[in-house]
Parts: sequence; C-alpha cells; structure tokens
Amino acid sequence: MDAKQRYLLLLVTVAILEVMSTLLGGSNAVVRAGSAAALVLVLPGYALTMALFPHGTGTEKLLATLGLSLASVALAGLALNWTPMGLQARSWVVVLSSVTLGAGAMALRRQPGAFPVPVTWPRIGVPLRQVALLGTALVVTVGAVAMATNGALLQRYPGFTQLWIQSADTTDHGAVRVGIRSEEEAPVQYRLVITAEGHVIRTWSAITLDPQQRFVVVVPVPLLRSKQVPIEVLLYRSAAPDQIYRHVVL
Amino acid sequence: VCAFGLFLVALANTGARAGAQWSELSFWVGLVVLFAPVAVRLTGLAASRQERIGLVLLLGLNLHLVRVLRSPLTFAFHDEFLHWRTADDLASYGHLFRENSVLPVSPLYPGLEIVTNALSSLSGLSVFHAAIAVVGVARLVAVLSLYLLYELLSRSARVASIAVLLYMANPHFLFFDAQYAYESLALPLSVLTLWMVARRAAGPAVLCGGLAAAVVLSLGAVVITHHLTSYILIAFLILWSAVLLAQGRGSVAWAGPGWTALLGTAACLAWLLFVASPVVGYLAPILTNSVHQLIGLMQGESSARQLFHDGAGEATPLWQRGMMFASILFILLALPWGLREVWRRHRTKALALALAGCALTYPATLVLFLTTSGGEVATRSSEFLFVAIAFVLAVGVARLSASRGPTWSRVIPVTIWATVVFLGSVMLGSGPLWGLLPGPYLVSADVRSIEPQGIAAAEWARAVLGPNNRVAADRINRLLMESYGDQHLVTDLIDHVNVAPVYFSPHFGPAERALLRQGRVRYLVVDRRLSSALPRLGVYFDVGEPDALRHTRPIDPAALAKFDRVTGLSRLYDGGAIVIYRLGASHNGR
Repeated sequence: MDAKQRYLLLLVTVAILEVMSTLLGGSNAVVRAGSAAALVLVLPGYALTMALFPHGTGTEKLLATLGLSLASVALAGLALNWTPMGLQARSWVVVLSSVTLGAGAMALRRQPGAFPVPVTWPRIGVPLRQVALLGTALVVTVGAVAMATNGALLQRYPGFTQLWIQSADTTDHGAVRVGIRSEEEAPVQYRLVITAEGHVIRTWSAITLDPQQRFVVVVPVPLLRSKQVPIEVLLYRSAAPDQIYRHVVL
Repeated sequence: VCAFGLFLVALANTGARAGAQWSELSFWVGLVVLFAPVAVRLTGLAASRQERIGLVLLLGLNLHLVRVLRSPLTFAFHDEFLHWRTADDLASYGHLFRENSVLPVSPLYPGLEIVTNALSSLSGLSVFHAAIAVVGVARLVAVLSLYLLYELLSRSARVASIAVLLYMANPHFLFFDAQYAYESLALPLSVLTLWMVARRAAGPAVLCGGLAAAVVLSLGAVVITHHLTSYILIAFLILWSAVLLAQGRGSVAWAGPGWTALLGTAACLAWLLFVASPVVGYLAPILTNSVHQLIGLMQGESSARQLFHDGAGEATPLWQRGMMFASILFILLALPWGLREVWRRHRTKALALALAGCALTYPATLVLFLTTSGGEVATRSSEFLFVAIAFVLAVGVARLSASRGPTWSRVIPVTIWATVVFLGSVMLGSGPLWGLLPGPYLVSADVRSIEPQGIAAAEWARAVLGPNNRVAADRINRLLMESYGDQHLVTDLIDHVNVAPVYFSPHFGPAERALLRQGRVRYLVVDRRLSSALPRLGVYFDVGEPDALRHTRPIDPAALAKFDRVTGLSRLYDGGAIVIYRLGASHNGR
C-alpha cells in the first residue's frame, strides 16, 4: 500500500468511525469527542489543503489545515441551513465526510505527486531532561486548570431562597401552585402562609429544606372560581419568625 | 516557566474568589512570567525557526488559557452570553437566523456558532466546552497566520516572531479576542486570508489556482462571521492594491489583493443586502456618536471623558495609570524608528508600506479615547491596527537588538520594553481591575455581576414561564434572561422601546404604562441590588437611560419598590434580590 492509499484509507476510516459513532449513538465519550474534533477541526481542512495547496511547507500546511477546516465548516453550515435537515449531528456527519472524502479524492486526482511516499516516523532524540521538563510543565498546567476549576466550584456566594406562585392547571376548581427552593448554605426551616382576601387559607408551620431542595404544593382556592381575588403567599424563616422573608402575590 | 506563570494566574483567580489581597500581585506576576521568558528567547539571536514558531504558538495558547482560568466552568463575559443564545438557538432549532433580542446582528453573522454547533453536536460536548475548543483553534490560526505573513514579508524568522509577540501585546488579545464572540473567529480567518493572498502573490504559478480557491473559502467565512472584520479586511486589501498601483504594478495589484477586495466587496454587499441589513442601524450610531462627540470636544461644547475612573467613581491605581501611559509612550517612541526601518528595508514591498500606513494612524486613535463612543471605537480598533503596528515595531526592534554588544545589553532592554507594552495594553483593554479577577457581586459590572441569584431567576423563568416571553430587565438580567432564561428581552435595539425610564421613575403613571404597552412587556424583572450602588459600567440598563454615564447616586429604592403597589401586577417570583412581576392585560396591551 503506498502513501496515497494510506492517506485515503485514513480519511475513510475516520469518516466511517464518525458516521458510526453518531448514528449508533452509544460510543465512548472520549472516542466520540476525539473523532468529532478530527472531523470538524482537522480533516476537511487537511483534505482541502492537499487538494489546493499541496506544495506548501509543513507549517503552511498545518495552518491551512486548521484555517480551512474552520472556514469550510462555517460555509458548510450555511449550506446545511437551506436543507430540510438543517444543522444536526447526522447532517454534519454527511456533509463533513463528503467534503473530506471529496477533497481527498480531488487531491489524489489533481496532485498525483503531492504525497511524500515514504511516510516514516521522525527519530525522536529529545534528551531525558527535556522530557522531564515538558512533563513537569504539563502537570503544572493541568494543575493550574484544576485549581481554577475547583476554585470556581467552591466560590461562596450569599445563600438565598426562591418563592414563587402560579395558577395551577386545574379545570374544575381554582388552585395555585406554590414553590420554594432553597439555595441557602445550610438546612433552613420555613413557615409558609397562604392568604386570600386577607384570610389565611393554608399554613405550613415547619418545612425544612436542605440546600438545593424544593417544596412544591398545589393549593385549591375555591374563591378563584368565582372572582379575581389576590392570593398572597408569605414565607418566614424559623430563625426570624416575625419577619417576612419572601412574599409573592397572584 | 510558562506553566508556572499559568499556575500563578490560576492561584490569583482562586485567591480572588476567596478575597485574598495578594491575588492581584499574583495575576500580574503570572502574566510577566508567561510573557517575558518568551520575549527573551524571541528577541535573542539564538533561537531556531522551529523554536520561534513553537514559542509563539505556546504563548498564544497560554494567553487563551488565561481566559479559561478566569471562568473555567461557564461563559462569563458580556458578549459571550449573547453569542451563547445564538448557538443555543441553533442547537435547539437546527436552523440559522433566529431572533436575538439583545444583539440582533449576532444571528446574522453565524460563522462562529456554526462551527461550535458542528463540534458540539458531533462530540456531545456542551456549547461552552465546544466554544473553548473552537476559539483555541482559532487562536492557533491567528498566531500562525501572523507569523507566516510577517515572515513572508520580512524574510526573517526573528522579525516575524517578535512581531507576533508584539501583536499579542495588543489591548484586546488577552480577553476580548479570547472570548466567545464572532470577532474571535473572524479575525484569525481574515489574517489567514491576508497570508494566503500574500503567499499566492509571492509563490510560483503552480500555487495560484489552489490558493485562489482557498482564499475564496476563507474570505467567504469571514464575511458570514463578523461585519466589522470583513469591512476592515476589504479596506486593507484596497489600500494594499492602491499602494501597488502607486508603485506602477497594476497587474500585480489585480492578480493579488485587487480581485480579493473586489470579491470581498461583492460578498459583503450581497450579505448585507440579502441577510444582514440591520447591521447598518447597529454600527452607524456608534460611528456617528464618536464623530459628534469628537467634534463637540474640539469645539469646546462637551467635556472630555473622565479617564481612569469606573462608573462608580473608583479610580485606577496610580501604578496602573503609569503602566498604561508607559505602554502608549513606548509604542509612540518606537514607531518612528520602526517606520524608518520599514522604509529603508521594505519600501519596495507594497504590503509593508500598506502596513506602515496603517500604523501611522495609531496616534490619531488615541485622541478618540477622550470621548465615550470614541473610546470604544479606539479600543475596538486596536486588534486590527496592531497587525500593522506589531510589524513596524518588530522591524525596528529586531534591528536595534541585533546590534553589536553583549547579548544581555540587547535582549534585556527590549524584553522590558515589550513587557511594559504588554502589561499596559492588558490594563488598557481589560478595564478596571475588578473585571480582571473574580470576586463578590458588583452592581452593573458585567463579568462581576454574574452570580447564582440572577442565574437561578433566569432558570426559573425558563422552567416555569416557558421560553420567549417578552421581558424587561436591566443590563445584567437581560444577559441572564436571554441566555439561561431563553426569553425575549424588550430592548431599544430590536423593539425600539427603551424601558429604563419605567424603573427610574418614582411613580408608575400613564407614561410608564404606555412604555410597557408599547413594548408589549409581559414580565418585569426588578433587581433590588441596583439601588445599593452606582453602576460600575456607568449604566444600569444602557446608554439611553436617564443620566447614563453620569449617575451620582444609585436608583432610588422606592422607585424599584413601587411595582408592589401597582394594581394588576402579580408578584410571581421573589428570590430575595430579584423579583419578577407579571403584567396584566391592561398593562401590556394584550
């Protein structure tokens, strides 16, 4: 097998892998991300570079590969927009595989001498000290990203509680849906009072919510059937039982 | 060493989140550690071409990582939310050109969102992670294109690498062009286009056809990705052609930049006419306001913008002011020397002369900083202007630092000079310090105003109210309600209704009702924290609000509390700081 065939085989293999991964769905996340990155950010540009600019230097081809990938994907998306399928995973696989294979075929037809025949691995002669330094740099960089991510995850903000009200979807009688969500830093005990026209219609004296926990309740309000009455919901914290913490009105 | 610099920047971000005083120092030292060692190697004579390419790529990526470290989990910068909404709509509906109420022109230039959509939908990555990858690759394209363009022009790997280093010292390289916004892709593609046009003109005939097709591809992508970048690219191609014509090389002009400029003009006009006509109404006020303010300033009819103060009156520290001045001064001092060297060594090259011509406009752009709109134009032009400035400075610096004498005496002063230019530019481009590092909530401070309460309110709106309701909100809650909340924000830009007076007014009278009815507003978002402090950016809503950029006291708390007393308004949501009201039929005109 010569270099041209190997090149085409590589493109076909990645394109088929991507098609399978997208159509069959359940492939490994890392494999899927890697093959998608190749199909979007490298392969179309590489195929186009080999078709349009095969005589460039290595650095020029690297640039053209990345740049033409971005450009061709942007334009391909515009073309996809006019199709009924639009922009979705399956249409992307079809169009990007087509661009890659089409440009690859064009490269083989138009530039028969464009491919360096003996594809050999360069001899790696990096001193051990440099390998160690590079490894250390990589570890420090990954550590820096991990530290920043961890810092963002752990950043402390003032806690808060959400209270809301909406009409409940009931047809035979009037009702409201009331919700509480705690984003406080620790478990909080609440008292919830629902009033209509100034009269208490329902009270919960001790609702305890952990952080990120929700409490949602549908409360029948027969008065709503006959006329528009303001429904007011008051939320108190057990720590400050006389002070209204949140209130909503429908 | 560079990895250690990144570590210091990460430490600064983590420390700032915990309120540590040393975080600022750690950030600046981290940037110096990232930049200065690379500058030393590139300024010296010893590095090989491969090492220089490797170093500029490394620095470009590391500076991209500085943005990632600033907000590694979610979008954080103002424009990122706007483009996120466009990308999100594309993922949800599968088709382009859906409405974006806060930045209506964003869906009309969807190149960045298209590429993000391809990567996100195929890989299963979130839009955020796909965006980080796409902008990172775009950054590699920018750095490599610049390097090859400068190398083609100067025939020197050293000049090219120094020029790329200096380009990275432009005010917008660190954050603005690393954020998820259309220019972050369009600018790299436009430099790629320039390089391909130059390469095609310089290369053998065998390259012509293929490179012409590649130019068409990248030019097309620029046109559909960002309005301003495409116009500036075409303007520069025309300038380049004009210089060639002036040199009596008409045929080269036509075969090189001329046809590209013609094709680009046709493509831009077609896109403008058939797809993106609203962009005229978007860009025109910015430019005309700059001109009017500048004329007013020259005629003494208006006062100059107060420099080095944010909207809340907080002053920039003296040492930072000094760095900014030094940065500008160092560039101004070096420009004449660079221009002289360009004239001496490269005056036969039309591209070099065109770049030199652009660099000459740098002092003029500094005057624009004295006006509010002009300041925006001046900072927004720096990433384009620095393509020229960096080349001119590099030619001069390379000549200066290649003179005889011990290595340290050549390299160290140039490295210090470049590092001061870099740090001063970062300070100029990034605004006040509170924007550089994370920390507690600040009023109307974009990146520092994004916090869980606002996000939770927006997510509640999406889950309970459903998408695309007509919502009125302040600047920050607009971003959150549009992106996390998937709502339609009533704005001056798309609905031609400015809702800000409704919030500022002490009463809820006929005028306020009329405004809300005109905007068919269904929900009002009221952030009571607005009354706790002056807006850091000078506005709570936008520049059309009462006393915009001239606030002397915060919004009256009673003005924000008045909605509780209005009949027909339902107070549906209370999150503590943020309250959401539903307007009855009598208020919103339904």
